[in-house]
Amino acid sequence: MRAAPLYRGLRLTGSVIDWAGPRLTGAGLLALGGAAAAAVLGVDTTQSMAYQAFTFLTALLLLAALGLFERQAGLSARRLLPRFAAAGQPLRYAVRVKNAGALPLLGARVGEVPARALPTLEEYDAQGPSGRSWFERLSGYGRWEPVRRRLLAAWGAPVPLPDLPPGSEAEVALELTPSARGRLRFKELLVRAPEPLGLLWRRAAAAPAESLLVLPRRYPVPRLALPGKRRYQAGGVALSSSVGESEEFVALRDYRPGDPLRRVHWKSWAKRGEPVVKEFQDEHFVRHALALDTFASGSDPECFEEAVSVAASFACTLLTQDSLLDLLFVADRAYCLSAGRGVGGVEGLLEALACAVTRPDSSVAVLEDSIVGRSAALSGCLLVLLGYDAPRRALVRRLRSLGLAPRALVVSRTEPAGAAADGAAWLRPGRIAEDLARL
Amino acid sequence: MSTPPLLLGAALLFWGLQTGLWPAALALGGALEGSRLVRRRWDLQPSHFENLADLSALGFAAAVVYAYATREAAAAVMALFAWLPFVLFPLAVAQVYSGRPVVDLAAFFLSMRRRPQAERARVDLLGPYLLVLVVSAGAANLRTPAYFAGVCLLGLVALWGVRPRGPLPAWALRAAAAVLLGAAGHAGLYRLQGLLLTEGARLLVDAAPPPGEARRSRTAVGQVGAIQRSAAIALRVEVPDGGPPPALLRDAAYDEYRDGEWRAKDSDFSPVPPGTSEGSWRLSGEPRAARRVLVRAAFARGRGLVAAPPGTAAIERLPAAEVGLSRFGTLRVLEGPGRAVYRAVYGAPEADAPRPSDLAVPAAESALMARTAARLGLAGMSPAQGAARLKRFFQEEFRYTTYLEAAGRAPLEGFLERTRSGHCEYFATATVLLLRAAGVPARYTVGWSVQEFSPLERRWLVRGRHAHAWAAAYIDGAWRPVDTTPSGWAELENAGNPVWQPLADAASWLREALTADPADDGPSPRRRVLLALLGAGGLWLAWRLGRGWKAAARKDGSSPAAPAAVPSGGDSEFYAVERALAGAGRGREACQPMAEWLRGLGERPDAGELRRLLALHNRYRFDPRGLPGTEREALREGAARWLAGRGAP
Repeated sequence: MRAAPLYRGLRLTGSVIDWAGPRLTGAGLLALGGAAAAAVLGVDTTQSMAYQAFTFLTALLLLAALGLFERQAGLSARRLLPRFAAAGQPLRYAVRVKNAGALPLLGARVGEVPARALPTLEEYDAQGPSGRSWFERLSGYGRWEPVRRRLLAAWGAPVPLPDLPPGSEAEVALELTPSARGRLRFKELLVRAPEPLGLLWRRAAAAPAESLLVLPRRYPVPRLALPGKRRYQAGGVALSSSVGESEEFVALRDYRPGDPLRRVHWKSWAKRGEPVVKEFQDEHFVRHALALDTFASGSDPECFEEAVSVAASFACTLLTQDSLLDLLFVADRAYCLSAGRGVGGVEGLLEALACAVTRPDSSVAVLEDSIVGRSAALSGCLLVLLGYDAPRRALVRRLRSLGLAPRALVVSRTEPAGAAADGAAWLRPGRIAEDLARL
Repeated sequence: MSTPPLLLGAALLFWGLQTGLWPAALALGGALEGSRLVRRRWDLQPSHFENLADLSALGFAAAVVYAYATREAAAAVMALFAWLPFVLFPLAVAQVYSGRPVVDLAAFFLSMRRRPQAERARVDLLGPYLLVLVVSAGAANLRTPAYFAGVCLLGLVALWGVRPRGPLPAWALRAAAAVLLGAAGHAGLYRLQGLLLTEGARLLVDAAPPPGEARRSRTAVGQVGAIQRSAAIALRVEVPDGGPPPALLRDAAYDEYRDGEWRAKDSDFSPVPPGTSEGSWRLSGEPRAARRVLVRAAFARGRGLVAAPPGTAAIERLPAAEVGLSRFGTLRVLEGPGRAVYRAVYGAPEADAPRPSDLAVPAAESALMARTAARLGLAGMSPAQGAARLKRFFQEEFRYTTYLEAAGRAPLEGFLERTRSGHCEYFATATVLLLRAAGVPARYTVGWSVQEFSPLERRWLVRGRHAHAWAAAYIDGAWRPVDTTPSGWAELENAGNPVWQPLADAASWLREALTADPADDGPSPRRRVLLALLGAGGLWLAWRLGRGWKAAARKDGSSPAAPAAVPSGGDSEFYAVERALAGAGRGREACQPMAEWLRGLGERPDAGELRRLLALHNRYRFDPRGLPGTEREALREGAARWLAGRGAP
């Protein structure tokens, strides 16, 4: 049931808190509360004297509010962000504040304005009825608060700035912990300084919006011995990281279109009348596939996020110096990203995984076609699946029949039927690290 | 303490001087500020603060009961505000002597207590306590400039403590401006309220305003009807000897009618001489067949009209500075109690001679009255016969209707000759004027009808709905009530009671039961029982809350070898190792055992070292005997060595 009226009230309250909270110092909050209490007690000026406290405190706040309009010229701030962050990992980045003006900047602090602090109605509804007390359940606060806490959890508190004399610069570190992968948007970086009475924070400087890619959360994974022999890789020499004539000659083979002419073994050609080329050791190396199942209905986003994290965790581990890793998943189309042996680094794979989304309108068959199409070049395959229904079971068996000896990891809340018999491991959302450690 | 030295003590003294509780204020201030001299601190946990908050809530509830039992409502509210510093003192002193800079807000909110510790907000109580002191001091309502001066001084000292570094003139200028603005503001507010009051608006209104108090010299037809819209209990009537109560209680009487309004001409109040006992007032000689009735009434700010039966000879048990009596028998109390249980001794005939105004019929109504009186044949009847004829006339040919605002002030002609229906004021007005037209002196009287007996309270309840108007006629040498309103009118009025009226009545009875009976020498038995039950309940709750709480005193810099201290292990260096591994992406999941987590890290060169450190950590953390010095040192050094070498994740 959509509790729109309660939501609107909570949203209004949240908006007021978000507006006033960062602007009030502790003393300012006390003054405001004191003025309110004095107003209640002193509503009848003949019955108590509290109305005098009300006027004094209100006068203080009004005079402090005038200080909000003061501006200090020559202040600037900017972030020094890294290229990436990782979900669940604290991100420390530097903020540089420069005072090119004629006045010192004293007692200031710097902090990020959360990109979004108010839950949407959809998020509020999706939370469902919850609350630790009847009051929280009745007022809707029990639904509102967990979502809001998740939105704000990533952002740290403002940090104090050292005093900045005119013409000086200071660098402080801010820390935040992204809770989810994807693009993290920084709405605004604000430097606030206290107005002369110390009741309110005024705006001193700001840095504009930026964004940062948050890579998926990773878990410690055991070293999985993925079976697989070295296989011939088309264009393998070009893929190798070796330089010069250090390749080891292995055998002769028939010419294939694309082979460089300098590899032609002229003597054999003369003998056989057909082009023959020399085959080198570096053309044969291990190539694994890491396939991510994106075919989820979207009703359990946590499962999919955990699957992405598992894939990211293995992407970091499977890459060794002499192997290639193909990351396969289906987004708007089937994607295959390779890394290893100088082709690309693990960052590319993690970037792709950071932006992976579910495809409820597609099916496992698309992924199956993608893997099977590359099976000739693959030495092994690791599948991260969101279930173990018939199509997925059929995929595993087909890959096994192709000699890939696939290793399946099923991320689901309930134990997948038949998975254990096929050698697939079950990973439970929320206990992934534990279950991975048991592999 | 987070407040500047002596600020809280000064605020407590300020509050004490304003409220008159300065000895207690000195003691509280000494206890709070004394923490700066005492090094001993209590090891208080969040649960202790929760218990203290519950105790404070209990104390506040007891204060509410006591305040309402000894004061009228408005004074009770002010008293409660003035006592707030007492109620919150336990929490403030606990924070100060625990050495904690902040306290869990969960102490004040039950719903927050179910949250994990990490999700709870924390607050420094001392700042809010300072505010409570300042605001509570205002509740004492000492009308001197000292309050504003104290507020400004304390506020500016507190602000000085949190002043941001910057040019002093800017701060000083604003502070001075705030004082001036505040002074101008509060003077303006006071004047504004005075202006509003003089225009007739009241900011505070009672549920059942004393009828007639604002109308002692005039009343418009319709004002009684407006009061009848309320079902609130205005009076409680008891007959000590168990007989029937008086049918009517009079508030005021009027003799001059003009344009829908009754006025009391020459209605100055003469002071009633006090009787021999305190609170007694002698109005006339005691009648031979004197009857007595007890009336429980409220007087807003100690003043109002005294509802008493016609023929009241004396009022007893009404402590007041002055009671006034008008020539119409209207009684007024000045500087009396907020609530009173007074006794009216009645039965004396009211024989004051009628005046020409008691026979005057306004020119606008004279033709109508003459016509109606002639039709009824009143001219040839004696006063008694005329009164009886009118009673019959109105009973048989008229119908009672409840007050309708839209009806407004319909002319008497419409009432007598067309609609033949209305509420009591029309019946009373018409009766008075008809009697006068028949040559019988008559007056218009307003007051209350006593009709409803409450089995719960064993008293007669007089509600707003029972406000009534009737005529008083001079018959056989005395003024006698002539009530011509058709019988059954009260039932019609009561039909408008809301469904929750019995609950409201029960609450009203409970409040009445707890209220001190100023007429008694001591508390009434019922109030004693109720207070005793409340007190016993409070003591039991306090025992429940305090059970199992022991304050563990600890000195600063206590020796780790103190036998009573059980090491919690929270400072184990292994946590730093865990944090380092978490920073490398190998963190432990929530609630995952350490050993399992280490196993999950896989084979690594430092696995053995980590297991050894974990074993030491577990003993340090959980072994009641703690860790001997050498092994404690081993844990410390081992962790430092690992961190310096920073094993590979």
